Amino acid sequence: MSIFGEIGQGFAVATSWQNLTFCFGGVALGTVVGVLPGLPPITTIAILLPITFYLEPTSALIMLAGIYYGAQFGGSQTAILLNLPGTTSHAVTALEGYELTKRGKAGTAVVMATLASFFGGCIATIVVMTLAPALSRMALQFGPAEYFALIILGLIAASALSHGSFFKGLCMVVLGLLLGLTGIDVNSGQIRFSFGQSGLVDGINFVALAMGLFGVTEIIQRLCSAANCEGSVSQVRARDLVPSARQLRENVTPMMRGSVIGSILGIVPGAGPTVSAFVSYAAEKKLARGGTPFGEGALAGVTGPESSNNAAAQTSFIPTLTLGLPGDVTMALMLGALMIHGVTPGPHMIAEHPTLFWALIASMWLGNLMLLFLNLPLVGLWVRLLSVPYQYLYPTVLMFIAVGVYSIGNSTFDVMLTAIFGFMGLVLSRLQFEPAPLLLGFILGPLLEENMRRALLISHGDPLVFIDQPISAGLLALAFVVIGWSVVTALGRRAFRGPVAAKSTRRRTHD
Amino acid sequence: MADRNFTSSGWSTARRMYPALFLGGVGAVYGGIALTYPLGSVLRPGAGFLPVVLAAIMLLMAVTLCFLSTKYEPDQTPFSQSARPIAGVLGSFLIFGFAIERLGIVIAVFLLVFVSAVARSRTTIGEAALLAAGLSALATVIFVICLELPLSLGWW
Repeated sequence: MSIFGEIGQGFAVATSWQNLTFCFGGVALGTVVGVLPGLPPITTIAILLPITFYLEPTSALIMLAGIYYGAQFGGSQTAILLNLPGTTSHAVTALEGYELTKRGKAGTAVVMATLASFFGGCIATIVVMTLAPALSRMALQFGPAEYFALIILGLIAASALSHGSFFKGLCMVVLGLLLGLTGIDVNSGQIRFSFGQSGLVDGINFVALAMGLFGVTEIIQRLCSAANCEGSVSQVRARDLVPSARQLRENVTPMMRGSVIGSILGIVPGAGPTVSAFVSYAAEKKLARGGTPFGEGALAGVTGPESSNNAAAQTSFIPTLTLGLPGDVTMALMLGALMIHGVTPGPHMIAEHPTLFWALIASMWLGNLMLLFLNLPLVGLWVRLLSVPYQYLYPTVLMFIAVGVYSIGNSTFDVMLTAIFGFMGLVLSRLQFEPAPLLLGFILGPLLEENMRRALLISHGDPLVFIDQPISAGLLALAFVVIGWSVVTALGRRAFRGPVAAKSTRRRTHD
Repeated sequence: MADRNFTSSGWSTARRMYPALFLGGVGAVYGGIALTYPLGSVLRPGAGFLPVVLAAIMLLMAVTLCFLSTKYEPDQTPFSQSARPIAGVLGSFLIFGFAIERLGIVIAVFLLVFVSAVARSRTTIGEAALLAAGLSALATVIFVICLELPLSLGWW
């Protein structure tokens, strides 16, 4: 059957009133959980998983997928407005987005982020539709050595994007990797770095770490400097919401770049929305010409990563469905849901369940359209969140964080852990370390170790395996180029500006 | 964080070393623990292999940072000003963690919101109590009634 015949069949299934309802329910719910800090999509999907057992597999997958990419839409709102990334992939959006909010441009930032999300989602759906079979064959060539090299590249790119110095970003990546190794080592059964706490045996709860480092730390910092920033909540007028033609024009290229980066990295298992958002941000930061400098509210730093993480959220279904390799924890849960429904994801899935696959693709189109019309009218509502006095807002946010963290594993230990990481975030911020690269290191740490081990095992202990293979060698070479580029630009900037100008650009020059 | 005006000469060299000391400390602790795990061989790296490598990289980075850290500008917020928000917000989480299973969500959220609200020095006790009561009701509706999370309502 031709691709149009297949997608047509997919649309026929996806537009049944039942599936439309589940698609809408999924994206609406996804938006809400994306907006609510401390209630991550993983929790929602976990809660809803038992409900979907009673649905048709297609409806279940459409709904769960809707929650997943809907959260990518919604998560940008709180990242921009409150500096609270709803999901990890929005940690990067918060960097420039929150700067825009502080400068009274919250409305424009949120609208542009929504448009960018839609843009990225549409591009990526085309990619999934047209290239899924071919791309899955390419991804099949990725062995452990390639994964290892790719993770290294992602981590180094993440440091290059960090607010402060490249070097301090790398330090945070290493700290994140170490934290990520907490818990049982799957190969030897050795419990590592648990400090005698049974709550750490399964590893550090990611949500506790993210919410502590970003949410709790930010709230304490704002309270500490309450005297000078409280009450400075920006007034947003309706006409601020409409982006100017110039803003639209200037952001088409970042959105294109973001969509391409996201589509490519989303396909690679283990990379997913977070890494692609980071890489897109790094690219925009390096390519920025004129306009608002990065770190002071550059719109391209919002639109690039936003289109990127949405694109990746769609294309990360490719490895999950065709290789059975989940890109992140949420995808791992989706994989579980599929298996419960008797659908085994793997190279034969598209052939065995064509209706399911193509209906999912069709629902992505519909879901993205729904999200656009769901989100644009609500932008005013999200922005109005800002006019809530901070004294009422922050206890509410803390409440969501606390209950959200607790409800993931019914663990009081995780609540305590959130407080500990909140304190750690304060220490890091006082020492001018950025927490975002730490988070990425944390997620990729276990994958890095696993793939390093596998690669060494396959090569009979030959460490040259990482540079023998062309793909792996190319990725590692690219990582070195990023390092070299960052060092050269940092030195160049310092030499060019000299010590007098260094103070005003402190954040970017002290590498 | 706003840029603050102060002359860099006002800060001692020791304080500039804080970031490097922090990294060095963490690297030493993790490295020390990691050395007690089996290192394994190159063919089969053990549980301690990657941690030891990472801790070593971290110590190297700490040393490098000693030479790079001349531009570190310590935060000047006096401790007295930040003690109350830090203690209040972090304390509210510890109290919530203690209360959620023993006293149920209604009281746990009330305590969390109350304690974190008074962490802001200008919030009065009355305001905090009112907010805590309201949010405790909201949390019950959202999490227990709408989302049906398995949370105990009270101590009974």
